Amino acid sequence: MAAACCGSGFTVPSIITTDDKAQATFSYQYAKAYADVFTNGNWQKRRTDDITQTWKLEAAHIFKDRWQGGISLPYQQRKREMSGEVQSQGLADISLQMGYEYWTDWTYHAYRPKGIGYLSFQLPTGRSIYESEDGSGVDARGRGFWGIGVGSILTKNWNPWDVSLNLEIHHSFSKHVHNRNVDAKIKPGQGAGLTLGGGYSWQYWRLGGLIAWVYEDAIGADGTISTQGNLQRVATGSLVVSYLFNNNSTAALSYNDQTIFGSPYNTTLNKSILLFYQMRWER
Amino acid sequence: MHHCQKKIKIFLSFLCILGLAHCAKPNYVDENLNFLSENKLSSCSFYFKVENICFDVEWGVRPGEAEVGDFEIVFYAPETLAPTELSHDLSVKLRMPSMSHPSPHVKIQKLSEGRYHVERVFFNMPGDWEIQIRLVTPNSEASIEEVIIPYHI
Repeated sequence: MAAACCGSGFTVPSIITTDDKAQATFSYQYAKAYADVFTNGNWQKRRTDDITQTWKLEAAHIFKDRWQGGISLPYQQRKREMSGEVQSQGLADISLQMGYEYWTDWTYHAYRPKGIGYLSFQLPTGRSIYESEDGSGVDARGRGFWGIGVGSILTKNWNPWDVSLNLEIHHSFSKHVHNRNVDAKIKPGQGAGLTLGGGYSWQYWRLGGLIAWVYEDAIGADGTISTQGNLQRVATGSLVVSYLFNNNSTAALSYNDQTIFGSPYNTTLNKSILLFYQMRWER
Repeated sequence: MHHCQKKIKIFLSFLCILGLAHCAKPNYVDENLNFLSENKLSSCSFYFKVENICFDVEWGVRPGEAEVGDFEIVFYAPETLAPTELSHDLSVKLRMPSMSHPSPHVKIQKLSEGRYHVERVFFNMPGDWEIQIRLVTPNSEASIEEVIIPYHI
């Protein structure tokens, strides 16, 4: 889920949580900026359109039984109303994951969940707002920092119910930005994400919900812009309907809203629709 | 036993929901409020001590969420109110302190003695911005003195 002005790729990694050998996911998201929350706590609704469409290809593969590697490739198009319409498209931030299943669920324990720990790497392939060149900021398609994160996903099925928890922390590395708008060292700091989800399945259908909280440290700048910045916080609530075509493919539709939960702070709030298709290969 | 497990699951679910999923409390800004009027600048609102010079900012088009704006800066002597030329270079930058990011470069054009036109004033997201009007050294753009004007869109 995107957070703040320019997205965060850490929250939901491309990790295999089933018993499959590999999975590939294609998703399309249509997000509209609905409001902004300022540092004084005030919310302000957007008066003009600011739309982000993201096409994402994610893949993950098991190796050596309990290890897995994954990649997420997002392509983004941003449109903004501005005395006409301005738009930009291109690669957003790519992320890579390496996971290890440290708690298996081979014995179908009554309470103990399946646990997968992972390392996540964020590549600054999407231009950041500091490097925006077109004047409107729509060409900023990512956070634009190198980043590393560590996290864990816990899942448990009590048929027909299922629950999941994903907790991660990450660090984004400082970088020097030099262009005609800014000449400064940009210092992003740490961040964290917590996602709680659950669902109910009947026959081939599943109805699920999840809430994802994202926190980012203040981004400071030292140079022609010298500011401490302010932290950013946002929570995304999602309602997901999915359909299992057969044992190895699933389609899903989700509605995601950042205006419902939590105490958002210093961020843009989006509402979005996500279409998702996943194929899996058995071991 | 099975009944007991079900109760535990329901209890844990409620704990999660009560402890973490409190609803957001929007405090929407009154959309009819004209923030721009807060930025109205009166005569000799600003002063550069190093040059003992006053200046006013006169808006042409005020920038909004989708509108590119422009303004003029008029420098004059505090005593005579006569237009006065700067002895340093002028720089204007736009920045959003909460996000630590700039908006694109504005274009500054000298119109006459002590009068400058600042074009392409655009803030690339809603929020609290600052217009930095600075006296700078030639070429190096090192700041000698600056005045910061808050601006909200």
